[in-house]
Amino acid sequence: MRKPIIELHGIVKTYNIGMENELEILHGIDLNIYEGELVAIVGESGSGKSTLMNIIGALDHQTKGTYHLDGVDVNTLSKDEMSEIRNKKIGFVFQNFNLIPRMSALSNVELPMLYAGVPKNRRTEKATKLLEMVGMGKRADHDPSRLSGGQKQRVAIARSLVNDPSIILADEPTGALDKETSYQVLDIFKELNKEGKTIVLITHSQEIAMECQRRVTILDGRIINDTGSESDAV
Amino acid sequence: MKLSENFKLAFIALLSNKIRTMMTMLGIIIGIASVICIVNTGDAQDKKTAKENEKYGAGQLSVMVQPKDESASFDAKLDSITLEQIDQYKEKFADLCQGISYFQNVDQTSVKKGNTKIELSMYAVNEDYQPLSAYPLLEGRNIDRKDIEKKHYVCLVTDYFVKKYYHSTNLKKAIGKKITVSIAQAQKEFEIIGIIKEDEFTEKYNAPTEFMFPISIYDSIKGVSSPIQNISIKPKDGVNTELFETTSTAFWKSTFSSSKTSKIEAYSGTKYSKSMEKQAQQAKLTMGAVGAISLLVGGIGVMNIMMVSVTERTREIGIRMALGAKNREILEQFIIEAMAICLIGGIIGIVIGSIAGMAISNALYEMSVYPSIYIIVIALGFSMAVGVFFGFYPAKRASDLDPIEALRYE
Repeated sequence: MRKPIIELHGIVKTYNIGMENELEILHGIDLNIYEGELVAIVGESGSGKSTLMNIIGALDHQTKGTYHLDGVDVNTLSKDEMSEIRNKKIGFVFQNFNLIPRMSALSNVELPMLYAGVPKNRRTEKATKLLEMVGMGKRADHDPSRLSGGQKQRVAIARSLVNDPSIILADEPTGALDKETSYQVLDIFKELNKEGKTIVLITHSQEIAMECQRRVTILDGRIINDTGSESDAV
Repeated sequence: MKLSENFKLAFIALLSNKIRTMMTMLGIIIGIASVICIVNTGDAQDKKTAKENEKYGAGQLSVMVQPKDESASFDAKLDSITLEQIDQYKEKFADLCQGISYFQNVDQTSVKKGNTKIELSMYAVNEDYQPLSAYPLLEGRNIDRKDIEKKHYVCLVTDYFVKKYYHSTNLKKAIGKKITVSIAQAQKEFEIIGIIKEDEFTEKYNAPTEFMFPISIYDSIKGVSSPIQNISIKPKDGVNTELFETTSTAFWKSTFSSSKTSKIEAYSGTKYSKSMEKQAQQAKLTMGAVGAISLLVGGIGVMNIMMVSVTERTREIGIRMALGAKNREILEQFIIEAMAICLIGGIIGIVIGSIAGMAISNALYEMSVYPSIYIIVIALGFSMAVGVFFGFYPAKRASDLDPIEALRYE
C-alpha cells in the first residue's frame, strides 16, 4: 500500500473560541491523500474548503484532530517550523497568482530557494530550468505586469516546484483565467502528476474537478463524497 | 538568509519606487549633509586659525625686557639681553629650543626701477629670525651667524619683490644680484642671497614687502649696538609646551634677577590659542547637535514611509510567509530596507555636505580641508543606527502579520 502523504483525522476548526461569535467551520474531517494522486477538493464558497486548505498548507492549526504531513504531526510544530514545512514540503499556487510585483519572473521563481538558503548560481540554474519547463523561458526577465494571467500562473507553478515539495497545493488555480488558458494550466498539472507529483486542487467548479482522478466533495464543513483513492480500497 | 542577499533585496525594493525612496532619503541627506558641512567648515576655520597663529608667533615664547618700576618714564634706560646670555640659554636648552629670533625695525624705504616703485618693510635680523618666521625660504640660503659676525652685506627679499622688480618668476636667477637701499639716510648695496615667500595679503593689498639683512650692519651704520629687549623663542616640535614655557621663563627671569632697572616678562600665544580652540570646539559641537536633531527628524520620516510601505505590501508579506519566510526573516528584510535607505542617504549627505563645506570654507577662509575619515565613519554609523532604530517598529509590524490575513489583503 502506498504511504499517505496527507493524513487528516477528525479535523475540527473553530474560530473565536470562548467568545460570543464562536463558530465551528470544520466538523470532523477524515482524509488521506496518497503519493502521486491528483485530488480535487470541491465545494461551494462557505463550504469550508479554504479553511481546510489553510490547515493542509500549514498556514493554520486545527482546533481538534490530527494532521500528519509526510509523517510529521504539523500541530506540534512551532511557527518557524511551519514556515520550514511550507518552504520545503508544500508548493502553493493561488487563484490570483500572488507573484511579487516589480520583481522579474526569474526572481519570483527563485524566492522559495532564497528562504531555503540555496546559493545564487544553483537558484538561477534551477529557476531557469523550471521556467523553461512551463514554457516561460523567454520571459524570465519580465516582471508580472508584463505577463498575461495564464503566463503568470505558469510562473507561479514553476515557483511552486522549486524546492521539490511533497505536494502542490493549488487554490482555485484557474479561477482568474479564461476557459482556454484554464485547460492549458490544467494540462501542466496533469503532466506534473504523470511524472509522479502529488497535487491537491481546491475548486468550486465541477468541470475542473472532473479533470482530476479523485474528487472529494465538501459541504458545510463535512466531506460528503469521495470518489476514493485506489489505496483506500484494500 | 545572508546579509548580502538581504541588502540586494532591499536595493531592489528601493529601486522599484525611486521617487518615494528619494523623498524618504531627503531627511537623512539633509541631516547628514548639514552635520558634515558644519564640521568641515569648522575644521577649515581651525586650520586657518592655526596657520595664522603660527605666522604671528603663537607657539613661540615672547620674552621682553620691561621696566622693573612700573612708574618709570617712557624712555628710561633698560638693560638688554646680551648675546652671551642667548648663547647660554641655547646651550642649556639645546633639547627644547629650536631657535631664538630677534630683530630691529628699520624705517620703511622704497626702491625704484623704471616706473615701478616698491615699498620695503625693513628688518635687521639675527640668524634665527627667518627660520622662525612665517616666511619660508624658497631659494638660496638664509643669513647665517658668519654673515652677522663678519657684517656681510647680504639680504633676503621676497618672491613678490623679484616679480615686481626684476619682472621675473625665475628666483634662481635673482640670487647674487645686487640691490641698493637706503638705511638711516645712507645708501647701501646688498647682495641677494635668499628668496622668501611673501604672503597673499601683501600682493593683494600692495603692502610693503619684507627685506631682511644682518642686524650687525644696522648697528654699524647707526654706530651703536641695538639693544636686544624682545626675543622670540620657538620650542622644538613635539616638545611639551608647558614645560618649555615654564623652564624658559624661569631662566630669563633669574638671568635678570640682579638687574636694577629691568625685569623679564614672558608671553606665549599658547594659552590664548588653546582657549580659542576650546571655543571653536564648543561651537562645532553645538551646531553638530542641531544637525543631529534634523537627522532624527529624517529618521521619523523613514519610519513613516516604512509604515506605509509595510501596509502597501501586506499581501506581498503574506506571499513571502506562505512561501516559507520566517517572522524573523521578514523583520530582517524591512529593517535592512530602512538601513539601506539611511545608508544611501548618508552617503549622498556626506558627498553633498563635503562639497558644500569645502565651498563655504573656500569662500570664508580662502582654504578648505577634506572631511576626516573619522567624521565620515561616524556619520555612516549614525545613519545606519537611525535606520535600525526607526525601521524597527514598522518591521516588527510586518513580521507580526498573520499570513492568512495578509494573503486576503486587497
